[in-house]
Amino acid sequence: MALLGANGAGKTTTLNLFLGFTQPTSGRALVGGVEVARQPAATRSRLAYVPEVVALYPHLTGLENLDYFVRLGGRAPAGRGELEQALAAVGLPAEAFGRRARTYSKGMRQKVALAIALACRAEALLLDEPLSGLDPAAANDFVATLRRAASGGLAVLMATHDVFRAKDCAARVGILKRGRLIELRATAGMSGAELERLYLDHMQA
Amino acid sequence: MIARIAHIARHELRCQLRDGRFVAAAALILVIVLAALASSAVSRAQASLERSQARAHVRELWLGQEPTNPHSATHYGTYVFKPVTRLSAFDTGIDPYTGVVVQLESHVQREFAERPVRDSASLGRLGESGPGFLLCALLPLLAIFLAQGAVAGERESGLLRQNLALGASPRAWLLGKFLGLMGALGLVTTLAVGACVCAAAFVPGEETLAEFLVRSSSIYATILLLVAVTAALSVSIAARCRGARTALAVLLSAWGLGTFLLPRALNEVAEALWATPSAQGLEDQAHELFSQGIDGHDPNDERAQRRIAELLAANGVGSVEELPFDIGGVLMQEGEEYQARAYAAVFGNLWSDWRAQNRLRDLAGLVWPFAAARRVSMAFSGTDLEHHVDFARAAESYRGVLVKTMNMAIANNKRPAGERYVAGRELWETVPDFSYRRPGFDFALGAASRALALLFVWASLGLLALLLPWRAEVAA
Repeated sequence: MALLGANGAGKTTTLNLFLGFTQPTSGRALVGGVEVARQPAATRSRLAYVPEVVALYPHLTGLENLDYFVRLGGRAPAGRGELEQALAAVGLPAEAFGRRARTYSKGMRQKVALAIALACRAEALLLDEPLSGLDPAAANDFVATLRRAASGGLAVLMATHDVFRAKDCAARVGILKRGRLIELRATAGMSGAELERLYLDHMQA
Repeated sequence: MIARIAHIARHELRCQLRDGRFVAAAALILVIVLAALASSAVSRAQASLERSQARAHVRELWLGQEPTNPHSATHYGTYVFKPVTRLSAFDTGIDPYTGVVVQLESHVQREFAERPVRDSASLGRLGESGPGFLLCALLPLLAIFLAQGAVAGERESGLLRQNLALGASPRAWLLGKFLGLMGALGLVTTLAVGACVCAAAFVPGEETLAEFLVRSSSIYATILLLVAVTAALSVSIAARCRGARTALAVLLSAWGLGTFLLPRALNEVAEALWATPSAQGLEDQAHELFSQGIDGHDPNDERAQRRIAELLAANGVGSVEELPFDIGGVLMQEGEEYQARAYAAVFGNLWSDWRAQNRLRDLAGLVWPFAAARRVSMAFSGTDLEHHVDFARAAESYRGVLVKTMNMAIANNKRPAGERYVAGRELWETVPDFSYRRPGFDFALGAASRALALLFVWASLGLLALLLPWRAEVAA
């Protein structure tokens, strides 16, 4: 599912509610039926999070970063092989595995974050504008990877400004305006142009 | 929780060791400290050599005096030397201010001579270039900067958010950061102190190996504690201050204030409040007191006349010639004892003023633990005020023995009127060579107790700051 909305509409806040970084003033955020505010540790263990700008430890290699985060998430990777597999699965070039992460492009960082999600065996993935700042080829590449992951049974919630790519990779889109979900639609049978029209109508309303 | 903390700590240590900035800063500190140690070790080794030669020489001079009247021998006098310890190369303490050699002669308790920092009885800016000072100043500074990068830096880059999203609690993350940084800082501390101790071991010092090891490992523990306290405070404050710059400003201010500004300012105040006299001033004070006692050199002195009358009465004789002992020797000794009491009062005042000054200077330790760690480091190195006073007392008591032996030799070897008693080497040899038993480690602990207590208060504060819950503001 993709969340669309203008800046300040509440996309990041929605993700923060699921991550337990923001406490709801009313209502509840549920992850797999468990309320986040009550059991943040339990719900976080089922989630993976890809921020807009993925930060990695600059002096560690991609592989070492992955190893650190996966273990922090409470899983002991079966070995270097499993980690390399996770990086390969998200399309990180093999020559980059052993390179220090400070040399990584934004797209490569995003891939490492995806690999962390996969290796942690997360059930749901929260992405905060993962496509902003990516060149079209990298964005395309990322969306393809995301779809592969989702086809494996991973639930995806992505906040984005990009209407066309939202249509491209999401089964459903929601439109947020001033903190309210004003539209929730399946994308099947809808063209990108139609979705954009719908979005703009809401924004101008 | 514990496994997670250990994981974060190991990771932090690995990041630091790979970070060129950490490696460069650590190398710089090592170079600075070792350069300081090399310079002080050379001068200590030189001093040690000179002193052992001089000691043998002054003993030879004493024993080799031409036969003469014993009281003349006391005016000729001798010298004693404060022992050089290996650890004084690590922390020169107040030695450069108080001096290391003292001349012993009758009638005078002298101030110590051979002070590189002359013309001042002040114990102000202590060993400001020595390795002990540098380590206590620089390692906490490194802790502040490392904590800034590891804690505030990760919060600003979003790494903290990613860590928490994976299920690390803010407390586990902070504890992990602290332990990881302590690994890195502990490594620098161990290398720096270890190198200093190894180098100092080669300085010819008078302490036993066991004493050297106990004292140097205690210094190591003290500096490690200082580093741990400052690292704990640094990560806690960096985590709680919303702006990274605010945390850095707060910590650097406390560091600068507690390391440089306050010690200097308090030093000025201390010297104004307890103005200590110069060597000449001490002498004047003593003479003021003497005027109330017997002058053994002047039998016509009124008080001496009264004392002579008493002694004549006590022995039931009518003239000094009939006394069984030499009246000159007895009066000389009694005058000496009076003067020694006067000196004890004068020097006692000086030392208690110095102690009062130190207590005021120690207030800097309330802002930042530097001053407390310095006080402990000096005490453990045996170069603080209490060790100095202990030696000065031993020197003064040896002076008392020497002068008394001479005066009593005169008293007990009465010569007919007009004939002077002349003694030689046999008498000089009855005065044993000066031997000084350096105070043990318990003495150093006692001298450092107040500063140690303050350090432990700081340590509790640091621990509390680490363990108190904090809200990681990562929702923005």
